[in-house]
Amino acid sequence: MKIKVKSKKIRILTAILLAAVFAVAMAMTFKLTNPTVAYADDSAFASETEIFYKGGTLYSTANETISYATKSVESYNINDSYPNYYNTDSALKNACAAVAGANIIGFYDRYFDDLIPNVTVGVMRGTEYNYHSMTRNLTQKQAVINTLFTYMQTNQSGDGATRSQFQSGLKKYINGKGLNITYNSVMTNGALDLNKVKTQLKSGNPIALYMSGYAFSLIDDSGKEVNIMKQIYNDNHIAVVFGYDKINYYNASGALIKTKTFLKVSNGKNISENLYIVSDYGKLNDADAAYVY
Amino acid sequence: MDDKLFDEIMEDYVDATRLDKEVAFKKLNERSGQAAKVKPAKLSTVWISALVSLIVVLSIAVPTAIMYSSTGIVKESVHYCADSDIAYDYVGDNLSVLNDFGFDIKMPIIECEEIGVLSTISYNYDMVIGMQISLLFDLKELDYIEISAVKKNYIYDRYLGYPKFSDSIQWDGKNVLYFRLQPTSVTQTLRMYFREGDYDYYFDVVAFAEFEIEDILNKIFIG
Repeated sequence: MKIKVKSKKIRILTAILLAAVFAVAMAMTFKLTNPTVAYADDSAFASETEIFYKGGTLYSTANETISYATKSVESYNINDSYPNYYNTDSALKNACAAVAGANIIGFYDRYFDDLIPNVTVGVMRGTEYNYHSMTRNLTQKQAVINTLFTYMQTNQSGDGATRSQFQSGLKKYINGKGLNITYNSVMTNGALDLNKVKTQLKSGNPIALYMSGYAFSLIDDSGKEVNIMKQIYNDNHIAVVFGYDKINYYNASGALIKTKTFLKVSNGKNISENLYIVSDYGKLNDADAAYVY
Repeated sequence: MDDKLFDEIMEDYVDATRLDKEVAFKKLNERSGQAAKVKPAKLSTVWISALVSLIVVLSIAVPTAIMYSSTGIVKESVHYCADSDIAYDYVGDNLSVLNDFGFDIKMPIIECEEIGVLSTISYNYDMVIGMQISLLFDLKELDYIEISAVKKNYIYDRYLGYPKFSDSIQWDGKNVLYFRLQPTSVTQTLRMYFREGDYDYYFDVVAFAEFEIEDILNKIFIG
């Protein structure tokens, strides 16, 4: 008889537990879609020739902290400062390719003044050239984005523009100014080739990254701990590289803890997070250096 | 006691007492018949427990799940705004025009070279929820200051990280949160946030020299 009573209690408790789990599972279906969780872009899974880059705004955030005793830094920047334009025209949807092209044009306008008519894109401060923000001569810079948006056939055959549309649209703009542009891949066997990146950056050529899923980060380094603050996106996007830092972090015994390669980018999003971490999140489909002459 | 055993004992008793069986078992039979007719619904305690717990948990979990977001428990009246929900409408280059929109916001008084951008911020293209000002300077000490004042129940995803900055100072009776980006060889960049009244204020300050946060806020708002 004792066994019978005990098993009944167990049945009751089990039933309560199962019911509670079921209820919670049902309740989760009512949970509002978390707006800070990035959505997967269906086109990210298309074949390479069909990937449309449109940019996106939904993201999640993550922090990574590395405690270290010493670090070594290998670094190169085309220039400490670089354009970081972004779209200010709400009527232009999925404009990331046009914005990336505008950042390349803005960079080269220092050397070819008519690329953005009637605009001086920066000023020398000491020995460094400082590029102005988007909001200085905003109308003219936005006009470049608008023109590229059309030249790149944005949204004509898909949301955003493909890599080939980006390249041909930018080429059309550059040729229209009496100049030429060539693209050189910095990928090897489907992965970013840092040696090729270094070669192109040292030649003064910015690099367009074509990404399916990516994180842009800021870092806060206290000298013994680095906090990497990431904004994570799941869409397809194009950003432009102007420099890199390759950092090895070591513990007190001198053993390597971690290596991080940060690419310094114009993110095209009007955010300060300007570091793309190689092989950290998402897929880098391609990367091309752009040489204007 | 087993029913069968009980019946046997009763049978033996009736036989022993020579009572009429019909009389002796009358009440017993009436009671059994009623029991057979009524047939009480015997719901398992197990199922009752399961049903009650299901109702209780659902009544707690569903409202909680509806209210929960990644930013914590939020009131239903808080709107999450992505860039795609936001429109900027340029309204000229005179700060006084903002009074036409009925904004009760803290106006900057710092002298600048020009106003690079002055725009309202609209949510879902029809509700004005704030304003954005970009102040450009003569490139001696300051490059630009960008200020966005957004109604506090609108969480604009571009500024999601600002209220989470860990460094803070007290200024003008407010808790100002800030983050200094790693400086370049030329510029210092500061992000700041505070709330005053019904608005959240977000700042991006780019300067060519180091500066104290209190000093820059005094320059912007006090003079």
